[in-house]
Amino acid sequence: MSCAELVLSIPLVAVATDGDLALVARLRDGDRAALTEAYNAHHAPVRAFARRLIGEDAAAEDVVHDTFLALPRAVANFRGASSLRSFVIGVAANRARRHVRAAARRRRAMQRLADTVPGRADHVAGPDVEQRRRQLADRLAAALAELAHEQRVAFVLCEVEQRTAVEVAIILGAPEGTIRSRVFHARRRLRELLAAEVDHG
Amino acid sequence: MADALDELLIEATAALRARADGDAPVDATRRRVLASAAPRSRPRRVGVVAFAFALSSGTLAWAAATGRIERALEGLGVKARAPVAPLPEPGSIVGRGDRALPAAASEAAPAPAVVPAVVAAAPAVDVAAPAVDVATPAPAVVTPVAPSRSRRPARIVRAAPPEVAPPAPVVAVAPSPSAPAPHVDVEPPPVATPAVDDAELIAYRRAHALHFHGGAPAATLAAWDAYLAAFPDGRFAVDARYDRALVLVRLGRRAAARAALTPFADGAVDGGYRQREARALRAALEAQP
Repeated sequence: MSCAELVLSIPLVAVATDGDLALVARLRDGDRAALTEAYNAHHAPVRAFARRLIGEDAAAEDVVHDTFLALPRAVANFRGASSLRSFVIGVAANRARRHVRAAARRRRAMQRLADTVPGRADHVAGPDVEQRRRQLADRLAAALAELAHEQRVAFVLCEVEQRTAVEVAIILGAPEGTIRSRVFHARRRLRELLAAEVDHG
Repeated sequence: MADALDELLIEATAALRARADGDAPVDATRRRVLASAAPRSRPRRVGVVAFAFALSSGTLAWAAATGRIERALEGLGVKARAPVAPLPEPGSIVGRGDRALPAAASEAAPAPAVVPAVVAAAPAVDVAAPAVDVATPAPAVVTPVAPSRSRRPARIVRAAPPEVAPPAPVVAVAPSPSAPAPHVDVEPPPVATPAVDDAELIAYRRAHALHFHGGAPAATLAAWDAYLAAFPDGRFAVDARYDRALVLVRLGRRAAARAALTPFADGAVDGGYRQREARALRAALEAQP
């Protein structure tokens, strides 16, 4: 990858653009075309965040749906200190709470079921790098389910999506110190969970 | 063991990050959103309003027919068709206006048993303060006005401020055990985005707009430099430094770009912010002849 490509591929931190402000004004006025526009512009990062947060594609789609459905009312609190994209991610973080809980319950139920079936496919360690990556992602997603929602959101935004504590503080409307503390405790707990998993083979 | 766990966590985090979007049912979700956001059908809303109107009309008619309205008015101290009582002296009773009520006037009003008790419950209001500045905006205190019949609706009264009072938009009133629970104006919940200094935001937005919306690299670099000079510890300083490094790359100022990227590549900024990209960029710069 060339330097120029690398520069262009790097995610950004932004405050509201004039386009954001105009779109927000239309959303406040109940313009349906504005909702479509907002969806087209921001559904991809919201979906990616939801998938990382929940670890389930179907539940992530529900989060995307809930987020954009809530957006026209939520923009009443938009003040332009963050980009509209960051703001939408913040809405998604709030809307994901109940989906996270439901997904965790489903995952535990599936785990109990799988434990009774010998020779499950994803217990087989393969040489394939992609498979190992998938397994690691699944293990982390399962471990994330054990965290409090706030810690989980902070970890996904800061560590997985590599946003700064400043940006995450703006997204979540919490002090930076609080965000750093949540990430610290999340990381510590995840290490404990991974260690327990390693100990159990 | 600890290092191995750290590495495992980093690897797992990267794996979760790399989880691709795949073939998500994007269009299906968009259709769901737009269908759910469609306005509700009008007949249902009209039906609800009509039902509420009919219910309230019926209740009023029943109350009038059984004489309950008259008794209720009497209970509130209002007699039907009675001559209107003379208005109190100006300043002695405050209604919904914006002007403040001097504490002394409040105490002189013919309802001493209720008003002082409620006002005194507010911690920030000094009822006995002799000097009152009526020009100072007063904190809103909600208190019932009725002297003894407590079934009157609560009214909003502006209590006198203390002599030196910090601006407090809303004063919480502790409910009196004898009085009905007063209605308290509640401020809307805090905004999700914390306040950022306007000048800083403007400076950042200017640089950001140049950076991401086609500004000339030289002008963009100048804008980042201006932001960082004015707000070296600003809320967006980390991002500004990183974006500035990217501009240096674009400008072909490789030595300066390498220097600007090095703290990021070494993980010295904000716990490893953009470390991976910075390393890749620095390596790419060093690989170029």
